[in-house]
Amino acid sequence: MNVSHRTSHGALVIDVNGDIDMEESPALRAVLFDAMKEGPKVALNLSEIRYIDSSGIAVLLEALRESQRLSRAFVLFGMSKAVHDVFKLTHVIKIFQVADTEEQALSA
Amino acid sequence: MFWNYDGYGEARFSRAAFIPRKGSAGITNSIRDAFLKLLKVRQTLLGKMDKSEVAPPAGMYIDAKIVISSDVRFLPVVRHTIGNLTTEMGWNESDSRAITLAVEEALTNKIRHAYHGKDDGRIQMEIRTEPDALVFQLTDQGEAPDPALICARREGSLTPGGFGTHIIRDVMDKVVYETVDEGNQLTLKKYMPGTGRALAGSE
Repeated sequence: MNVSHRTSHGALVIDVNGDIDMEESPALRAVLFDAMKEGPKVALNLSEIRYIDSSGIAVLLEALRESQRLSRAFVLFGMSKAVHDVFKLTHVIKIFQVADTEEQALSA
Repeated sequence: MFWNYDGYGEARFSRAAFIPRKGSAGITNSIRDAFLKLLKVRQTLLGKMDKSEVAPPAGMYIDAKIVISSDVRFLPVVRHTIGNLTTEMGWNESDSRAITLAVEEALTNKIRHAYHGKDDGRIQMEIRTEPDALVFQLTDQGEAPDPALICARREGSLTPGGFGTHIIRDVMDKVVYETVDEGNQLTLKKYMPGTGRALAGSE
């Protein structure tokens, strides 16, 4: 998994690619928790994620709780069908703010 | 000594065939001769054997066992293997991904709970076909699971735990946790697409 971040329209956009599994999810957690301290809005680009397992979903839930604690906006965008299927399987799709595109995510 | 071939039979072979003659050339020749004898015996047996003894089960089948250490670096290996296998066996892309995820969740649960994240535990995974199903059987020698903690999560909960069990139960048609002589065993069964039982739903 590779992670990079950039600023766009006042939000911190985090681009990740690869697989988010038990091995990789602690690194993503650290990046997201750091990002929450940086600005009012964090947008996570999942368009290059091929696989996510329950440890990845758990990390995103933790990040969501952290965003709520710090009063930050946390939005996910660019989900592939593979990732969307896992969100549906774990019944968390409605918990997150999800946008189709980066443009929608940043304007939401 | 016993020579196991193709997984469908055994041939008894004389130990004398492997006693080398004196000198390095003699040893090389003895090894070569032994292999030639093995090949000859194999050809003879295959020729004489009733076809039913060597014929594989009808249709596409697998009967495989792998043993890995409880190391998360094996997860992508297992992921790609199961993904390719289930696609080749007829599941569509979405179902194949779901089965792969469920098996990987079972594996990560063993790493996390049976071995508490230690990477030197032993996990045996058996993959086999039954007439109407694909079966995954995972066995470990770590801490036994607490039945009280094997529960699916509450829908809509923000608590980041219990997803693995939830996914496994949601995706698989049969899930059995057992304690056997070899350790803690988890059996996951998924009925083949298009079979009557798959259409009837899970057990």
